[in-house]
Amino acid sequence: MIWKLAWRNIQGAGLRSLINIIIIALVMIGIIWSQGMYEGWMRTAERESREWLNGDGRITHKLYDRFDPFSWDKSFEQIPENIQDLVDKGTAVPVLITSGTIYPEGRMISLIVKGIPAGQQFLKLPTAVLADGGDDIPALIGSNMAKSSHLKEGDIVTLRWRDMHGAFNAADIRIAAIMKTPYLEADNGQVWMDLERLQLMKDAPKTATFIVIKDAGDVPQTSDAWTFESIDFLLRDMHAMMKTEKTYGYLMFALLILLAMIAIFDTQVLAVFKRRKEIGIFAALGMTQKQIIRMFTAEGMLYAVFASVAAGILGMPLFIYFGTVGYRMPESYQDFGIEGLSEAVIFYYTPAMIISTVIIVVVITAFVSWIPTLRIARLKPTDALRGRMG
Amino acid sequence: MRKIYLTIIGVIILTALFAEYPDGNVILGRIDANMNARTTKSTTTMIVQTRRATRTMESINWSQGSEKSFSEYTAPARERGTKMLKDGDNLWIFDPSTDRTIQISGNMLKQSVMGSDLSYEDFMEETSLRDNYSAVVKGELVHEGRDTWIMELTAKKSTTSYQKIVLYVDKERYVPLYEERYAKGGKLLKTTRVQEVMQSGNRWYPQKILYKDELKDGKGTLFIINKIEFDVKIPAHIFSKASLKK
Amino acid sequence: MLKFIIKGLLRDRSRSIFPVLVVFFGVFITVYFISFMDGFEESIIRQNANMDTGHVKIVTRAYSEVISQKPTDLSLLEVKDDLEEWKRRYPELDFFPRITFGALLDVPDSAGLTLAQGDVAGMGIDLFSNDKESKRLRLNDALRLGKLPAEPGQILLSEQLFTKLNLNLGQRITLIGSTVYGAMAMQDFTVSGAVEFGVTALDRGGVIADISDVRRMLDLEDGASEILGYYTGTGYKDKVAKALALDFNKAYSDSTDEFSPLMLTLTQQNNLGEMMAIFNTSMGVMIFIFVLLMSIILWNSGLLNGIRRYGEFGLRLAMGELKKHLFWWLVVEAAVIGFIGTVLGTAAGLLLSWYFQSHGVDFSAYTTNSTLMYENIIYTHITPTSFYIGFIPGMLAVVAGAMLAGISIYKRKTSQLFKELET
Repeated sequence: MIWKLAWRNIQGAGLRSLINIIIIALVMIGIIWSQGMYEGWMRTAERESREWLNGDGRITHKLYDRFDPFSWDKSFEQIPENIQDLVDKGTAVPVLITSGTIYPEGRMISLIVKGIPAGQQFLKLPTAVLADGGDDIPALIGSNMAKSSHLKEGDIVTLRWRDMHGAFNAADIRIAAIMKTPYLEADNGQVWMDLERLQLMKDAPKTATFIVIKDAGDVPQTSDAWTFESIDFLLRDMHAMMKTEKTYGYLMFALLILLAMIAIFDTQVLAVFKRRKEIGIFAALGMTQKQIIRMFTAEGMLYAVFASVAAGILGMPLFIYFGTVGYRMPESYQDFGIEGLSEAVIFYYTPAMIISTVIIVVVITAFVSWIPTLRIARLKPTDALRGRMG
Repeated sequence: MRKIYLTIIGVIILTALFAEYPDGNVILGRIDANMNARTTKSTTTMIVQTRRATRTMESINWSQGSEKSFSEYTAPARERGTKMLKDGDNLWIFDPSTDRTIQISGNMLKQSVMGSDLSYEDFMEETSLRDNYSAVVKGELVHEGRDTWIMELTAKKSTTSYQKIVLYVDKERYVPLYEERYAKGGKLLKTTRVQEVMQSGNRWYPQKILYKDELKDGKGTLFIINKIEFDVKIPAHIFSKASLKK
Repeated sequence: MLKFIIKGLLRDRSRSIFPVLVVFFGVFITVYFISFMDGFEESIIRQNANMDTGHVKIVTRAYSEVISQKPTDLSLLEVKDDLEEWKRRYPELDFFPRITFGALLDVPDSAGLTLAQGDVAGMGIDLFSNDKESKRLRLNDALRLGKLPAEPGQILLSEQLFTKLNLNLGQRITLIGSTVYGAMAMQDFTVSGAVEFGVTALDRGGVIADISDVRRMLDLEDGASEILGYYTGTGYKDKVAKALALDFNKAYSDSTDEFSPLMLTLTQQNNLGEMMAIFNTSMGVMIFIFVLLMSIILWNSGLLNGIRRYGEFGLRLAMGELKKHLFWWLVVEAAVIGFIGTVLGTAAGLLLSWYFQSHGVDFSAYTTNSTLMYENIIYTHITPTSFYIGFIPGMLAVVAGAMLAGISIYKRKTSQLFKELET
């Protein structure tokens, strides 16, 4: 009966109820939308890192340390046979790393040389350009690298390296393409070339520094020289950044909810004030104060419940648009190197996200609707009947 | 018929050519004999020309075979007292301001010695050509007024830094007057040009040498030998780590 | 009439206090929100300026060409006198020289022989003249062990390096690098503390020492790889900084001399200009949405205030008051409520913003540890906007709400309104 009465009252209030419902709905849309954005951003960043370099994790040579150039020249070994099987099946991509020096315009720049099979299909790197270039060695660099080294497509530059025995070698490489990659670990301070060519250059056939695996479930047993790095491990820096971003997001939610609650509180205070006579009647009819309070609280909660429905209806086009087309950051943001921002971020909504938002808003609304009704408890039925506040 | 003639003529010419040029490896041996001694003691000046400044450094050096060497810098003031000891594959540097002896390793090995066009790695190179390379005489040339053999050296071991070297060797004095060091793939990496030679006893020795990293812009590093003595007696303790601190 | 209305509002507290409270609260949040967002933007600018770019940065022309590689060998040399002149010419700026360099860190055993080694990325900053630089880099917050260098020869290490090399506080280490002329450079340091940088690359091998030590080590007497300039009073203003840089480059930079100084502004580095433009736009959108929402809420509140008075109006109409008179009565009353609420709300919002402008809002409990790279404290920033923005939801929206409620006075019959008094 309480719910029925509450419903009638909301209907009766007409426009005012509608405004409240719309406000709460807008807040819910805002929260779900921005959570969808963070989730989508994270998934985009994660997907990009998987697509460009990390797959579902990597089998890495134990001595490899991406921050220690000295380790690059000793952290490689023959690809184990069982992993070579995966490579042949196309579900793993070996990468060989060595340190080198390029000399653009007579300056010296130390860098990482990465070898990857030109014919690989599984990572997004445009490795096809690395396939056989005749006399010169086709190489691929990222746009950031191009910027910092002042290299352009078609430029020919001398690369010097040491083979695995220690002999110096040098050759001209041709910048076959400059790629825009969202994943900076495949861009800054490095140059890509065909794996077989690099193995030849290094005089280290069939070797690799790490092997990107398509499916972590398939990782075979390997010797002690190798270790498996899961995708979560590889992305730990990014996850930490997301955590910070999310904190600021929560602050925004809190503000939005606060706004909506001002509206509800305001409405409830007025309702209690305006309907003191009604309260008196209910009391006179034998309703306990608890029941009356429950009725008012139920009214407030109903706002939230209707708002949830309204949010679904009003927000759907927005959610669908951002969930399919997504949001694309302007160009210059992309150069800034924030992972996951270089392609359209497709928003992603999880049931948990939606349900928790609805529950939080409904519970807080209930609480806020309940506070003003405490005055009812202080109301004497006789005063109430005469339209007086206690 | 014609083919046979041509082949015969070819063989004759080739034999003639080879007959004319001496054995490269023998020449290498003579170069080593001239350039290397059981021990040497020298004072040298190194002039480094960088983009910003020209610096002149002086040092006294001792060496024993190609395995051991010891240098002490005497000028400029900033470098005075800095000592460097090479013993086989190890390289130590002593710095008087910090009173520390440090083993050079890692990325440090790739850096240049005192700003010169030589890296610590170059410094570590073995000096005996005969041991590390096999040579073929490819021709002859008058280089800056001297008759020279053009020689091509190929590394014997795959671990040698420079797999190919071209030398212009003075036919009479067995001093390499010009040297090109190549990458395994055939790209020119470094050149050494002897600008002046001097006579010391019965040897001829380079006096002014210009080293240049051919991949880098710059004017190169000039190395001047002011004084050199061969086969002098050097006490063994010079080549010990203890002498760095003295 | 205004006096009468105010008297009425004061006497009937249900008519005044609650509506004023709602407006007050709404405006308060709006004002605070605006200055918080401004502070957030400032914080991004400040973090970049503090860590890397300065408000302006002076480097050599050759250095600026390859600035991302931080080439120490292309540093500014012997700029002491120049720096004095620059300081005189631009008294609005505070200049701080910095040096970044790469080196090998060597840990000796008791006999002074190498025990352990590691490659490091070093930074020399002015730690001794005053604490401005250490504050700018928040070294105290990032400090995990020991203390900051307080005397020559002391050095701060990344915590990871400290652990990896098995060091102790007070232990002696040696840095080996090359001087700006390429000569070998060696310098002893004692470990004074360990910091967390917050960026993996630096945490692997970052070290910080006083610039005087680094200068001595790298043979860079009176030199610096970069000289950062910070506006002392005002914050960063792009137009002002750009004009200043233009003036500087005209006066001191020589395009034929690759080692002549060149001034870059904050927005001319690291794509920060574009980034700020984007940030400004998205912040504008957020503020617009916020003010819009707040306006709807306060408009609703104004409407509610009108509605609760329907009964009274019915009575007054019955007593012969004109509808027009009543309508304007309601509007003026709302305006008075809105005005009082807005003024108080703005005042309170500014007060709180002002407090956090100097104290900052601390987020460290919610995010990762405070490090050099991540500022966990956001300082609010009061701008002229903060002073008037509250009037949009506080006055305009409330009055608009009252007007909407007032329209009913015309639409409904007197009897109907009168009946509202009953329910």
